[in-house]
Amino acid sequence: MLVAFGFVLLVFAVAIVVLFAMLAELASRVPSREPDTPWTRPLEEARVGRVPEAWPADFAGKEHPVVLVLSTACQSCRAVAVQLSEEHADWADVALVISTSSRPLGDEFVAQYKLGRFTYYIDEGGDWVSEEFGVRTSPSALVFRDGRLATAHVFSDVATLRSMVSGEGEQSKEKEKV
Amino acid sequence: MHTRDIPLKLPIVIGSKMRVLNEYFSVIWSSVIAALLINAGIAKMVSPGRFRQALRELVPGVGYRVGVDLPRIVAGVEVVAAVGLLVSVSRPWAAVVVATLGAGFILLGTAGWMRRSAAPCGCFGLDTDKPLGLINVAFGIALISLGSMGGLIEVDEQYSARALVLTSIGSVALCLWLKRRLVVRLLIPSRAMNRSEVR
Repeated sequence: MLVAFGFVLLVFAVAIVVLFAMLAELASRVPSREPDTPWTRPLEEARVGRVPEAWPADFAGKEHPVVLVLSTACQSCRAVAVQLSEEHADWADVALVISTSSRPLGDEFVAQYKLGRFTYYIDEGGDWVSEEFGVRTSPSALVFRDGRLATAHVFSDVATLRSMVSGEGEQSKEKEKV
Repeated sequence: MHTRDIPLKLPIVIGSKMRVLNEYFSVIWSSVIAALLINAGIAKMVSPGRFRQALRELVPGVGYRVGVDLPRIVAGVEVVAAVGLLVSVSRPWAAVVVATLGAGFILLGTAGWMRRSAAPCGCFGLDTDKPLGLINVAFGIALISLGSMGGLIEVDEQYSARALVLTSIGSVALCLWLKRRLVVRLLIPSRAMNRSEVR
């Protein structure tokens, strides 16, 4: 009898723990109350560690250390595009993947936000990033090291992303030294 | 007569006290380990992403192949082992599973510590940015030593009832402690809001 009572109590306890675990998961998905606060978070769906089978011809077939994925359909990608062209035109390591439903839309996006000075690839249907890296979220940043996808992030602010990426690079160099 | 009685009775008294101590020790440690495993397992089951990310980071070449199934299988094993530890009949095999989990956590913690892992593992359901490291090694050692010890000590017929009740209370208490920030946000939303505004 006491054992049965103990089991009932344990079921209730487990239900409470499950409830709080689900609440915590939901709370982690709620965006910050302050919309202007820059943020970056790891992109969990990305296939970290993968070596891409081929780089797009628009990238001259070669690896770029940082690839930003912007979609023509996403509002925050427009803000990122403005930041890129106005404040980060000197960022030489970066290449862009413009994910779009049709090529003309992609070209229009590049022209509208003056992104032509960067190396870019119009990815129709987002096929290349989703098939190679499992990425279906934008704006996102893919960071490559030694030909492999080292880290992937979703971000809201280019400056925050840029400082984080350079910090990761330094950490990686320290690890290699060790 | 008296001189003979004393040496005969004394070991019996000490023996019974030791047995009672062993029983309490066994109930308390099994409950502590079970409560930790239940919280860790349920957290991994509900949010497998963080643990998956930590595993991916540990094995850069093929890590991306790790899906959400592996963290959920580990979580299932943790919860089943925790419940098994509380029932007197299943304690011996549950102790073996707990020790195996402990060995796995030692390996993961050591690998995370040596590789200077940075990805938060979400271990024990913590929402902090702590990666795999020495805490996991310590937890693994505790699981191996105390779990095995608890499994080997003989217990009486009251063990299961006591352990189940103590684990239930311990699981909820540990959950509230681990999720204390969330609890504060839920109970006192205005205070939490004011804090975020100050930041």
